[in-house]
Amino acid sequence: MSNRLSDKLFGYTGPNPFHDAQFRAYNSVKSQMEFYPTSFFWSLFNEENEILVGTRGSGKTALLRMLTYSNLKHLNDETAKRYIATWQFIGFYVPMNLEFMGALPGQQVPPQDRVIFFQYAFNCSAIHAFLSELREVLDVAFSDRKLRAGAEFDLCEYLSKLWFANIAPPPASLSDLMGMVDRCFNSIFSLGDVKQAPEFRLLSQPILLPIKNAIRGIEPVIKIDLSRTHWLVCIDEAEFLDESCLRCINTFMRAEERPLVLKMATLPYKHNTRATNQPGIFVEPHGSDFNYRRIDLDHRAPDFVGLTNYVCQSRLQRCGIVADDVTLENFLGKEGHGDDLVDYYRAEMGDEEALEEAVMSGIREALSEQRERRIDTLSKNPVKLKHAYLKKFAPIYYVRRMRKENSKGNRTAGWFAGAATIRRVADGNPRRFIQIMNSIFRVASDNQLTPKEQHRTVTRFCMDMHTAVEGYPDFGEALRGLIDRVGNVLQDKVHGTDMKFVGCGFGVSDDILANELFLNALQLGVAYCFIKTDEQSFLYSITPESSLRLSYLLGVYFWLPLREVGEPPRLRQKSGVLPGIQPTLDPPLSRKQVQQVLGQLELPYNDNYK
Amino acid sequence: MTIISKRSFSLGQITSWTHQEWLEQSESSEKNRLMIGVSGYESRSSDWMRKTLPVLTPSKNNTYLILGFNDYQQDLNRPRNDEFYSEKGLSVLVSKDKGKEDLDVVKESIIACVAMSGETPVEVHVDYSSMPRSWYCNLPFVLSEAVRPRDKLFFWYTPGSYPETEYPTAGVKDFSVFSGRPSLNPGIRTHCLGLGFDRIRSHAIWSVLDPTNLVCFFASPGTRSDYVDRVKRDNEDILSGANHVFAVDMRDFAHAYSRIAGVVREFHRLGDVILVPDGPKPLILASSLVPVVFGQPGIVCFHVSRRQNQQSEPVNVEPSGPAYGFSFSVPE
Repeated sequence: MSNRLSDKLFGYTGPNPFHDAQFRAYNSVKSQMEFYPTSFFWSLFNEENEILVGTRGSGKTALLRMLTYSNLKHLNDETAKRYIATWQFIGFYVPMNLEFMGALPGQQVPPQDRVIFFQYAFNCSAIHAFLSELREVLDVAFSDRKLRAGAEFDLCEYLSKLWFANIAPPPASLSDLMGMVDRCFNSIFSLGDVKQAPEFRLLSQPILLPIKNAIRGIEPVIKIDLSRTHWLVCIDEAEFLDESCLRCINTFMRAEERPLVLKMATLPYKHNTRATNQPGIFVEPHGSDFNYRRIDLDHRAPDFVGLTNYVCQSRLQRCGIVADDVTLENFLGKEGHGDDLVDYYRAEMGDEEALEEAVMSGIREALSEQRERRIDTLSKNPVKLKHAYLKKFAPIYYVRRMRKENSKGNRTAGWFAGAATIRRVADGNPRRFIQIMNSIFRVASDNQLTPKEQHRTVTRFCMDMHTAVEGYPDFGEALRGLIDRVGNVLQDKVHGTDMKFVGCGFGVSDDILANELFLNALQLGVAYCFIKTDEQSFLYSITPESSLRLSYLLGVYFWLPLREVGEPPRLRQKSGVLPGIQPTLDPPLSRKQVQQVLGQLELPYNDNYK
Repeated sequence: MTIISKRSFSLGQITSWTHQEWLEQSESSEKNRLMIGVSGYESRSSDWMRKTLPVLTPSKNNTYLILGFNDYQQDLNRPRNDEFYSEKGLSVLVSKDKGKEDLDVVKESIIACVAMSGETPVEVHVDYSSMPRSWYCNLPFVLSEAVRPRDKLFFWYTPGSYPETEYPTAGVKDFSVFSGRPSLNPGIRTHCLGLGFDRIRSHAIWSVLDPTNLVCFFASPGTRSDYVDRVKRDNEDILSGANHVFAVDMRDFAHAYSRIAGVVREFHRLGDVILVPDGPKPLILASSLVPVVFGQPGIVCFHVSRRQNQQSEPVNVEPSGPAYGFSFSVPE
């Protein structure tokens, strides 16, 4: 094992820099220090309405917050500097968090009244954010304080006349104007309050219309060229929006309200209506009205490698590890020449056991008799044998052997270790990566971070995360049951009497998806990054054709090879029916009922690998 | 019922009491009293009354209002509780039978009691040990509108021993804002999560909220000796993600309230504070009052409702210690 940067942490007693797994809403300067701009981030600067779909922890909030003018101006990047200097993109952040939605006094009112409440509150929030960013625009545009003050005064006068014509004298600063909007929001408790509010006609207009009207006349007031500016409305946590609210958003996207462009972040399957407020009119994706964009990264993508290295570098700096070459690899150390699976296998089993001949022999013994015969017939053609068996079965064989080794008394095999494995376990999810690093850092301050120690830490982390699944909202228990059913079957294929060609992949049949309980549980699994799927299924819906797999975190828990291979077993209901119990969703099923329903599932596997 | 109103509320001269302390001093003081309790399937629901009635027998000065729950009228200890009240000459009023809402019945009783008292101060005592959250969290507001500054409101709680039972999970739809208003575009949002025994439920709440800055609190000491250890064990992963953890002594309500309010005040300087209480009722009540007492935007209290599934059955909660409570009066 090469030198590890983590050795420098031995005896460290300060705070764990990986404790915070969330993008914190610090001030703009601190925010940019936490942020790694991926190629996906830069691709968001465009003129299209986009719905950004990402799992929990995929970095939705970070992306949207950094799109704002105030945060972007602190980013040390040439593109960012150009956008700032030319006002090409001005983003403002509009959060739709649970308390904001819950505070709308319209939850028990008819949908048409709910729309009025939502439009009123949304416009308050959006105007507040818009004004806040205008302040930043003035800061950049006017270095002379006197000129800046004059521009702000003119701007306030213009906006007050437009929005609050009855108020005299007009607010003298943007902060005062924001305070007025705050008061408008805090004064609504009932529909009567909304309708009697002096600003009712302004604020209960379709969303963003007051801002659109304001933008038209801003340019001559503050004397900045905004003719090529796109105003990015960054709506966060849209998973909390109900159907009537989503219809308002869709109506906006349908109406092409440029230069206002919408960037809305939500969890998978939560943008669940295409309807608008106009009967019979729907929004269309694929660029017509908007595009869906998947935020989640592939664990092998250069962006994810860069992001994980950046997180390591920026956070380790906080505890005194400052160097140019801080990467995840350097922090954890590398095994052998390539830090590959075979290097970890060799480190545990010795050089001889890791030779191709020995591995091939082990694979032959682990396979079924039918496959053994096939190997024997191929033995005269080593190239074909290597391609057909050694390359494909070696990762499965390694994990099979490692688990066996690990079960021997006090022996711990250093298997689930190293940078590549940790990125796999994070599965492209930045928050999960920080959570793993939190555990690893804690261990590193007391122990040397050997592969064995890394393995212990990673497996313990995965075990805890697996336990936590049943606590996820609404369908956590059913999800846990599904995961266990799939995981145990796959585990048996890898570690049973005859080794099969499987990884973490699985499929689902029509009848599973027709059952709302299972469909919701699968969708929850995808949203919380416990089940991974292909892009189409992630953005639209899970179908029998979807390629699904357990997240690699669960792969560690069940001791599976961390990859998708072969013909995945397909989850289905026994004989296509659920005898005895028909699941209903409301009221919820008890734990016992969920177990009964799950007992009706099977996962047949077609071992047709040639 | 949700308190999203313009009403201001203040806790004047909040004082903690043990039931014993209050009983001892009550015998010597001349006041008009209205005692409000419930009859339910928990054996705990009549415990406070069983200890109070022998000392303050029903009279012109000591009136009793016993509300009966509309459901589970034949389950567990309900018949026994009804019988106990009947033996004491108290009728159990099921508001629905009269076509009324429970809180309206309570308010009417207090208004009548205050009106009949003239200049004599009135004490209103509420035993909320077995009341549902929608009652006991609203009662301080409902009652404070009906009493005068010279009157006093008392809230009593008898700790209970909960049997092991299965609580289902929670989801977004179970959340409702009970009190307070959020700000527009808050900077940092701090979630103060009250923890109890229910690991799955707490985890569901946690994952829905997805807190950035998490503060956790729980009762200590608890209702039994292993309470705190179990809360810590059941919520280990949530606690490990918290930036700040504190314990509150629920026996001393005034202290518990000021502790929670102090933490809220501290974090409110950074941005919004969202309280999500769970665990024992006194902590839920204290948390629910905070946003209304502060009366500032940016402090919110969520209530997360418990789901009843098809197989939900009532569980008996037995009293497990002496009652304690608090009193306050409305300011001039």
